[in-house]
Amino acid sequence: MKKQLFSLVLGAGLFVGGGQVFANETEEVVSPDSELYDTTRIMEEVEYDLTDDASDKAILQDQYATERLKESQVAMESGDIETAEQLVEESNSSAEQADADLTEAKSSGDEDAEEVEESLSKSLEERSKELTKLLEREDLPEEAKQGISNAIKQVENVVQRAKQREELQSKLVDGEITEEEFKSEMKVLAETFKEEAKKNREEAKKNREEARKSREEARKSREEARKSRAKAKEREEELREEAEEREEEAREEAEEREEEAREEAEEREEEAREREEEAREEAEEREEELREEAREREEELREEAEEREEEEREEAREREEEAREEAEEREEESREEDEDEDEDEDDDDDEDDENSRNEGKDNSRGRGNQ
Amino acid sequence: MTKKWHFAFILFFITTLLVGCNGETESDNSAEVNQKENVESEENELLYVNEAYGISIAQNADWTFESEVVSANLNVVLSHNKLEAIISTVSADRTFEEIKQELKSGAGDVEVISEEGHTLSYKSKLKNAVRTDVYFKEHNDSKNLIIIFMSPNSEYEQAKPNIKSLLNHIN
Repeated sequence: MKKQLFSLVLGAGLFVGGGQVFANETEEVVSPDSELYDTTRIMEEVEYDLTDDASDKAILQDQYATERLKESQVAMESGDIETAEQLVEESNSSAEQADADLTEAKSSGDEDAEEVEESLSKSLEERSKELTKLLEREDLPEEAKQGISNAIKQVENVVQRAKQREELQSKLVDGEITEEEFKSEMKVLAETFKEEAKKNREEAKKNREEARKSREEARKSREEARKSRAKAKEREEELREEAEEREEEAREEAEEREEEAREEAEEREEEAREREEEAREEAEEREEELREEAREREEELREEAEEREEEEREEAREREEEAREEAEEREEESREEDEDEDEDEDDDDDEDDENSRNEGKDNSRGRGNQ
Repeated sequence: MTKKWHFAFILFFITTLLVGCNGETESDNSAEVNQKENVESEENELLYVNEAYGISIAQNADWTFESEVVSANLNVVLSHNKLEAIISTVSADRTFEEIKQELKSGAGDVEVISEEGHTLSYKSKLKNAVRTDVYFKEHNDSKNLIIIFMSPNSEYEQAKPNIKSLLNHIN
């Protein structure tokens, strides 16, 4: 046991090196930035509350102390120094609670208490080394360094507790106190440690709650900022769209005007074509009318000519008829003269009479026609 | 004369028996009705509701509301004796595989009991181990739910019906 105490004190005093394995384990931890981080913390609290055995409780708090330190490293790597400090504080309060639970286990004569104590001392040593390693970081702000220094002092407090337990153990071994007295005094120590641990845990929890609230507020602010940016972007997008729409409208209007101008030009062209067509048609009509008139005049002339020709022909016929009648009359006269001269025959006379009647008829008919 | 007394006694006995049975049946019936009414009123009442996240938990059995923490996600803690339930929201774009991996990382040194479909079960390696059962439930377009049950491993079998009951009451 003395050896254990020695190693614990040595571990707390000589925090050098040995952080490599520990650092690699940070990959297995839930990041404080994770959506599920608070869920895992609530699960831890529930698990601890459901655990009745003091040794088990000590182991759990020791695990939590180690996890907080790993999470602190993650937070530090991501530049969240405030959270890192908070987690170091929580790591220490868990370590104190583990120690208080261990003391209770020892006071109740738990057989596993010694083994748990050994395990806890190793963890404490590793955490101490890690804290020292953190303290040596050059990029750490002064405030954070102060916080880690305080944490190391708290580790020393745990070491002092271990010393107190060890002194009691020695007294028991040396026969200075009875088993009953040992248990009784250990119980008193356990109560004191538990009280302190409880106080520190509550303080750490309160701080964590505040930190969580400030993270939540920061998250809300980020969210609001993101929303504002999104809104601004949206507004910008709207303005851009409006500008595009206006441009589009102007373009469309220009196109419409161009189209209208083109249509008007086409209409004018069409009208000109129509007027030309009308003029052409009118000209054709006039030409046609002229041709018609010419044809009519020609026709009239032709008819007049024909009429004149007919009249001439008629006149010629009449003249010919008159000439023929005159010739016949002359022939008749000459024949009558011949008959008179050659003695008239009765039959011929009748015939002559008849002929003269017929000629008279023809003459009267020809006059009627004229 | 004795026969008459015997007959009268038997008659009285039978009558008493019939009346008694009838009364018991009525009492059974009314108990059944009351139970039904209780179930209906339990179903109508809500144990927890969060409109922002669209979550409601109907009143059932002896589950009681413990706490609500809203941070990066919503966490609602309910309890039933030594059985605790944590109902948490997770972004819908995260797969259950990713969630399981993260929960196992946060759980430390544990023994995985089963990992099937939308469930994960593991227990701590302590003397008095605590068992954790995680159920994944699709909720809406933006959020899904994980329902985490934790109980001492020794009391898990007893807790099983209450786990199933609560799972059926979460909407």
